[in-house]
Amino acid sequence: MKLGIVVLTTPYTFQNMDTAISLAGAALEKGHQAMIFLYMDGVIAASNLIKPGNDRSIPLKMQSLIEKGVKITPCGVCCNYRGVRQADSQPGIRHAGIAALGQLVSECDRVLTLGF
Amino acid sequence: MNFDVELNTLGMQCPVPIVKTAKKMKELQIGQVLKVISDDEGIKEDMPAWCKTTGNEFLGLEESGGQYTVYVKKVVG
Repeated sequence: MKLGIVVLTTPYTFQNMDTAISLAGAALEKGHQAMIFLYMDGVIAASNLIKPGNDRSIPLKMQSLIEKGVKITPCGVCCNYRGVRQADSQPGIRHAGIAALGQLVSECDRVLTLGF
Repeated sequence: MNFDVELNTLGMQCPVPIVKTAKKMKELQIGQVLKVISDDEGIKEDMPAWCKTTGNEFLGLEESGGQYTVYVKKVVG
């Protein structure tokens, strides 16, 4: 099965990104595939300028997923509105748009939206 | 690369280039190639994704000075 997860909220303020990472990781462990689309404030998680200190590292967890083949895509326009440049984004993350979200919806067997 | 129809979307950001592409493709015949010019960086991911979703063929992308030229072949009606 292919699981699509859409995250609408910022990391750390909300736990949706943590949930998305955990679900995607669990899906992989069970032999499924997973994709994550970062939309609206969710795109903040794409930034490589996030320095969580001793707190849990969402960027490192995202990198681990990317290395395992999970495609994490932020909405490019949402990034523009929030100052998240492609150049400041984590390795392996490429900005896209509605067409990429459309592909996720059409390809995935289940789509889960984590918002407010 | 050879093309049949050109679409200029400079200055337009997502989702407008994709929406205009979808609209323009309806005017093309099967086998014709649409050239799309854009300065929206997201088109690098979006156009292949749109092609995959719609069944049309993504022929390639050229990048120069923050401008992107994309070629799409109409495969489905």
